[in-house]
Amino acid sequence: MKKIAVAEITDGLVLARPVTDGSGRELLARGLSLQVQHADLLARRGIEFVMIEAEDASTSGAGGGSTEAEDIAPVDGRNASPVSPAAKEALEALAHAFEPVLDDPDMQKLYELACDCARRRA
Amino acid sequence: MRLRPAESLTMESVQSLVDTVGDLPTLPDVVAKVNRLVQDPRTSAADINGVISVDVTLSARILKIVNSPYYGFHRRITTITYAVVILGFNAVRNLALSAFVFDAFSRSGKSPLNLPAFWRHSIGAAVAAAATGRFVARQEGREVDPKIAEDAFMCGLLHDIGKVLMSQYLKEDLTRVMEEVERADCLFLESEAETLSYTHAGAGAALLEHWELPETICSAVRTHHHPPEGTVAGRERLLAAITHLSDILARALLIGSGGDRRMPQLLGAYRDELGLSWEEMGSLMDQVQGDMKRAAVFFSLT
Repeated sequence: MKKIAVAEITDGLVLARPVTDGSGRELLARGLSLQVQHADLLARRGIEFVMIEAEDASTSGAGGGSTEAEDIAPVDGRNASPVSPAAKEALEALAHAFEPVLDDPDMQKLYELACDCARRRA
Repeated sequence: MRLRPAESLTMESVQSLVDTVGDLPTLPDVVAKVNRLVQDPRTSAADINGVISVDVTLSARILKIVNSPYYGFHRRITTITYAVVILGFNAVRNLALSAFVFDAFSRSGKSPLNLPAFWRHSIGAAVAAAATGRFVARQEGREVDPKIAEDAFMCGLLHDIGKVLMSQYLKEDLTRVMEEVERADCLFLESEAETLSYTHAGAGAALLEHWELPETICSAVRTHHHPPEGTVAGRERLLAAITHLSDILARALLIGSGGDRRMPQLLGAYRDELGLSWEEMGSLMDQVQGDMKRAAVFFSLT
């Protein structure tokens, strides 16, 4: 696992910790395969860094051996509830669907409501 | 049926196609008669019963829907007359139409569209539209007939009927649109704007006009992605706004697929028309999720 600036996000990097907003709401789930477009999305939300899976074991080891508890903690340090595979899939689908329209404050609000519904459904 | 290449089809020729093609689905006599009767203020519940009861299969399907958990009546409704009295004329017309639409369109062979996912999306939009209609009718200081929810359900169910029309009669066009959706990962409506000279919303509305459905329903389907131009009657504009939102809510709640993986913009004009706060929008989304759990009967018809 390693910490990178959102500006360094490239296609295919995998989130090692969920990304949450200031109120603790999960924006992106752990395990999500990132795309370059996520950088804009996260920057707009004021998020500067994300934790990503290390590309290989040697990089992973360089982190000092994170615990499982650390692994599931969101980037801002809050404890996240475990994300079910169904919720993860739903949140990924929503992130993809809303990605081109998140510049619009109304769509951003709708996105947050949709993510809340997806978590409750799961 | 042979159709002209897509590039020669305009909105007007789609209208013409809908009007003239022989094997285009027409409303069954029973449903067409019910549709006409409902629009006549002198019609009685017994008149509707007299027409629908002749068709035993249709009667059974309507009663199955009426007695499902979606409507939640404690007492069993056993006759069409009783259904009309309890639900109203428009609701029973809409049930007859729903039964026909599922029967005629839901098993239309191979399609570039994922039809089961498409119908889940349509049913989701119908449920969302009905919930939005009820929600808006309860708003303080707003004089909206609560029965708007019945027509709203129909608008939600039929809002993308143009895509099914394309699937059956304009398959080459639909294939091109879907190929562009896949290539560009864009909205269906963006792809058709690049690819065709007509829209699924316009084609769907033309089919509904061919079926002589009320103009408010045709208009809501025609304008569910773009507000109507000029002065439009209040109820017509409200139904269009509800239909627009219902499509977006079904997508936001990940109910089926309208043929793409993107989210259309919630139009400010329609949001203003509905006057929903974000807190109300959240409550509405919860309501739709709850209603969907009781809507299994509609899936059993597809």
